[in-house]
Amino acid sequence: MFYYLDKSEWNSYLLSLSKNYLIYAPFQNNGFIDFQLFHDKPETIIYHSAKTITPLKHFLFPLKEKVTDQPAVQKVMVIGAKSCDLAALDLFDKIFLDDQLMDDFYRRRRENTLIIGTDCHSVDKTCHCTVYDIKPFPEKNCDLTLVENKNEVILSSMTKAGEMFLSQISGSGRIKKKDEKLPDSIIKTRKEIGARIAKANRTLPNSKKTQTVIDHSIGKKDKVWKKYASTCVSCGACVISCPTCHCFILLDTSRPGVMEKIRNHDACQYPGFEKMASGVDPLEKHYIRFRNRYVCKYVNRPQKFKSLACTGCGRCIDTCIGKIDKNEVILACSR
Amino acid sequence: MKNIYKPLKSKIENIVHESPGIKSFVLKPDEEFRFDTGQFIELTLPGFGEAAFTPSSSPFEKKRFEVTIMKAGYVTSLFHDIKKGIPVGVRGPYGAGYPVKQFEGKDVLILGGGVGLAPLRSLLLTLVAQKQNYKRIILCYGAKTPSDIIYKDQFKDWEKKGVQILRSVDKPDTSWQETVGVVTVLLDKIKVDTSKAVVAVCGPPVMMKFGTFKLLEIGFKPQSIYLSMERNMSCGVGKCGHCAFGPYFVCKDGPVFTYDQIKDFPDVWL
Repeated sequence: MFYYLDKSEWNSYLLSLSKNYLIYAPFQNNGFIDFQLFHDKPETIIYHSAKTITPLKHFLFPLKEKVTDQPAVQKVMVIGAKSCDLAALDLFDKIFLDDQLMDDFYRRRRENTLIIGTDCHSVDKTCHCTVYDIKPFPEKNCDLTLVENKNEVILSSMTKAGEMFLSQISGSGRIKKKDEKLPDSIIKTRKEIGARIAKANRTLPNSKKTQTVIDHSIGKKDKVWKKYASTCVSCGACVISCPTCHCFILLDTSRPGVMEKIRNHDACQYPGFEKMASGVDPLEKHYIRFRNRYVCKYVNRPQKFKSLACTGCGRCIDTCIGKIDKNEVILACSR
Repeated sequence: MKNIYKPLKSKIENIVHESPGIKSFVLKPDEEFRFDTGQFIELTLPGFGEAAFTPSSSPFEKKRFEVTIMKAGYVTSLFHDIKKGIPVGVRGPYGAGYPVKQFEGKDVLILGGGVGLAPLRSLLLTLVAQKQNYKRIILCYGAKTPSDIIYKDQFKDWEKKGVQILRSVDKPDTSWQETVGVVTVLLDKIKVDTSKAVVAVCGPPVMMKFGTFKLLEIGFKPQSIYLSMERNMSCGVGKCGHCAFGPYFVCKDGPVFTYDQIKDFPDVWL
């Protein structure tokens, strides 16, 4: 069911919610669109851009977090999550919400973060979600979807938390109407955007073919890997900006009498990531370390978790100082 | 809910010098601590870091356990400098250990090299405690020199308990009466029906590699060869990615794998 309300009603409701939630939404800032803490000016929220600079994972898996204490978690609302970031939560949930070894820090953030997904009505040069069967509008892993349509906002729930949120808005008398479907214009835009992304990336192999290409490249395409690794400076920007990269390092910060550990994002692209006490390092050679990220994303994680670890957001291409185009690497391996 | 990252406070009760560069530490956690043989722990030296070790003692002892540490990296070197009584942290136990139930009714061969005997000692003590469940227990152990042999005073006791023991060193001294050569030469000296036997292997990568090849050559099936794999196990709970090994995380899916599970990976032997 889709709940329609006037944008002015939604904006005033958001302002009232900021007392209960830390609300993050995409705003224009110095030429970039990225999540910022919402205080006022709800009319300046950019709902339907392509992906934000920061991936959604940073709200659930912060760059740095103490993991020996469990302070109270604040209620957070993230507005404007894109389907590429939402799809990445498939892998995150499988890894961090493992029944046997549950990461309580991730679980509590996940449960206390209301995620509102929004459509992409524009496309970045590097967007290629459709290659991996992800549509440019939210279909899963969010509590609500939101579409801005002229002077109205259309909300729909995807989870129980989303339903509760909608019932609260309904209770406040702000809902204008309910309907079984979205306006035709929105459905048309969704199709057009999907087609644009597909057309721009028509030469790229799909997920299954990419898996085969990368798997077969091990030991057979060293020249390709060495060529592209030659401009990689192991900065790890591709990893930090990736919505699916989940690696971290536990740092001991204990003081006398207090055992304390901090979880810090880490990157397989940093030298020494897999180095053992004996000095042996499976990723010592730069091109193998560079290749590892591709093998992880397209071969190993799908094999273990049945989830592709690339959602086609293209951030790794945008952020690379070595000007390495991940898709160009895949195409070079496929030749 | 249990915090998987929070260490359990423990105390180092005793330190045993096993060989130059290898010491065993007797740990007493603040609470009862259970593990299955072959599982590992993350041992924290507060303020410095933590490292993964497989307990080398019997899992039937619940109040204290031992780890045997070779001075190799940053954390292990610090452990070699500490004195008993120091508080440390223990996380775990983690990972999949030896499936000893599946060993029942069979000959169990244990092939160890150097400090690799540490996790195998825990297995050996587990098997010896329920010896009636296994046909034979055979230990083949190799070290560089006689002084590099660990648990020196314990072999006689294991022998008395019915373990067949064969030992070798690469470089003997004048008192050495046993085999000279790499540990795999001991495999020529044993008679075992490989169709009714399993083997657990742990040691330096080169020993694991050639040990496995030799075991295959004498007829062991890949699914009967249990390898204790070494990788950079950091979080211990299959999340941080440091010990990725093909599609597996060694800390969660291992550290014990059958050769059959991993034989097709490009970087099995480093």
